[in-house]
Amino acid sequence: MKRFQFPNPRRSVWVLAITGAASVGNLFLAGLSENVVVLSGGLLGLAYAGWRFRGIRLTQRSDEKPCAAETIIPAELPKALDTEAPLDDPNALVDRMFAQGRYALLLRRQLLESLSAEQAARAVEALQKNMAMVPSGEVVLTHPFDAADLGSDHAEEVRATVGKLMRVEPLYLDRYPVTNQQYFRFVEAGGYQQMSLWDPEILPGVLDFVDQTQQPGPRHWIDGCFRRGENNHPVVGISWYEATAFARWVGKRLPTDAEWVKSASWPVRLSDGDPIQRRYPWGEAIDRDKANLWGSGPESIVPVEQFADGMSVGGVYQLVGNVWEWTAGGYQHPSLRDLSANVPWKSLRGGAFDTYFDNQATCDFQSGDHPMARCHNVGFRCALGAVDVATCGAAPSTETSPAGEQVA
Amino acid sequence: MTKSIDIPLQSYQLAKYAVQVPCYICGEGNAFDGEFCRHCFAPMALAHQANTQDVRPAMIATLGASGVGKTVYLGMLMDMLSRETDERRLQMLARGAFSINLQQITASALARCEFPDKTPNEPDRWNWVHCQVRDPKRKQPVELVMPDMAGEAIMEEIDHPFTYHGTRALLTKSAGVMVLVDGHKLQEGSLDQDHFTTKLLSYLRELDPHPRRGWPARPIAVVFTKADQCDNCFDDPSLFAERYASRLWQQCQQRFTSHRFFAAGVAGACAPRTQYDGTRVNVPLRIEPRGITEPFAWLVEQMKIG
Repeated sequence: MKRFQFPNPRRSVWVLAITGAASVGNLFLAGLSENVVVLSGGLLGLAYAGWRFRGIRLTQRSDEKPCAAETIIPAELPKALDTEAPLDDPNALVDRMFAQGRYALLLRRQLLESLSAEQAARAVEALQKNMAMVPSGEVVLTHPFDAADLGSDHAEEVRATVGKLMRVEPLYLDRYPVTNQQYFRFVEAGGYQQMSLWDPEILPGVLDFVDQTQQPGPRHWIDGCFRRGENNHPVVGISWYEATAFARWVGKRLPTDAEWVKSASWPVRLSDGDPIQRRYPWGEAIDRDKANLWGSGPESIVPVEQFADGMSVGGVYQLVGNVWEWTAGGYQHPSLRDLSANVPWKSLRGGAFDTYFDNQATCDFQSGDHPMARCHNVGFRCALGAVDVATCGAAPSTETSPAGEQVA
Repeated sequence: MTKSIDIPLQSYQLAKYAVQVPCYICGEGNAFDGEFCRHCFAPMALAHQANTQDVRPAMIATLGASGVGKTVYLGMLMDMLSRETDERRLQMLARGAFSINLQQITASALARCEFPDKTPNEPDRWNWVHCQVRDPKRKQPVELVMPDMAGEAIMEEIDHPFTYHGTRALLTKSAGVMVLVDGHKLQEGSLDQDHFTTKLLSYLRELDPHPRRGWPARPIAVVFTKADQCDNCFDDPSLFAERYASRLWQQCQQRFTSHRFFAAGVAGACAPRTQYDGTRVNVPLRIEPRGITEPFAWLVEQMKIG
């Protein structure tokens, strides 16, 4: 549900004036005949509705800097966020953390002990609803493209390093990429001003992470808020540092490359050899109905819950397609030895709505970018190590779940 | 004993050589079985297709300095339009096997996260494209010829006219032109791109200065390439031109009535790679075409053909 507000007092005066004129008109025409009254009332109503919609469209098309009231206040935010909850009231504080989506912090062993049973169960429920369990195991990381397809000078060098077996500990991974609405909570809570959330080396650069109206926030936002109708779209236009700061704020972290690939390709190891891994989260063959890629979707970013058929075995949405995702790892390629000597580039996974080639939208394809790049098609999702979660006995009953790490 | 046998007299076939087949690009005569025109080195397949299929394709030239991305742009454009299945949009069908070479070379390289090799200077090694473009706004499909010429050859022809016969002939006959400019270099402050493009437009105007039929009235799409590395270029290409390529912008405003600025990018990100011989080349880390079809669609719409 969206809550629109009048952009300024001047417009409110105009609305009142037109409404008043409509009422007067109706009263005047009432003296003529009943039919005329109905007709005139309808016409005036239509005229008013037309004027009202015209105002909204003009607002959207205007080149002027929109004022704060024209942007959406995410209506789904619970009241705890809107009201000033007293910080000395633990229950209000917990409610606020739930409202902000920071349930992962509540599941820390130190905090969980001080929660009530109802609050703890609520935190576990939020975890299970929003994150998928990925069991421990091994995964093979390959290089950006298949060595067999190289046919170029550095093919041998790449072949020598292909097939690195990585061990992944059990983790929880967000079922969906972080949305605009979720990121708005971070911005609204002053995430860009909380220096403890940011890596020390980027602190001077945080001031440069602004939107189109020079407010702190993702690059494409206006006046500190996302565009109308994009509540559930993945947040884009954020640097790797912004993604990391958000993850810290909600008590999570970015997944490593191995964790991301394992979640997507869901390896199964039947013998001593390499595990069998999926090329795409749904199987071996490209199916453009299952991911938002070039030529398969509306050629733009779609809400995070779409393309449900393409979810991974573990129930993670849009690992391939829609937006690229920052991971914690660095971009590594044997032939890119001199790549940006001062700043290691960061890894991107998964492909986006405009990814053109099928082989660049696979589970094991790795791209990269400068950590301060704020691209139009790069978002992220968060992870949480299972060891960091005190699950209070309600964790998924998998072989590798940290059942033994429960807290009383 | 003598035995009489019939020996077919095949000398009549020599008569074929007596008839000159005019090159479709330069119009000079050639032998009927020549692969390339001996004057301009354009493929004679263009002339044979024009004769046998009774089509007179229009020409679009893609110009720009060396390394600006002509091969990538053209190859990607062809590949994207060839993959298009929505009939409400521009579609492209290649005519002749030789026309698919360019998109094959480009798509294979980009899928491997590499840029295609540089186009050689020799005109007989250029890739020519003859294609049929289906435009939903037109009743009949448009036949087009688009060569991928080497940047050095274009520069050479501009500096020393008549060096490349085919280039000059093509530019004289072209119905429209796409001028590619490296947006990233422009933003970095390089003046070469601005100067070269200005020189190129001056050359075109001198080639045919007729106010209604000549280049002043023909459509010119100025495309800022590598815009993925200068993202503000996508916001307003015309403003970008005014700000970073003022000479080019001024030339277009004053001398060409039908022109428009565009931004295009193919790679989502590029990184420098040190090769084994020590040279550094840029490699694309992912392929995300943006703004590729728009200049071409505008040009087809503006061209007085079909």
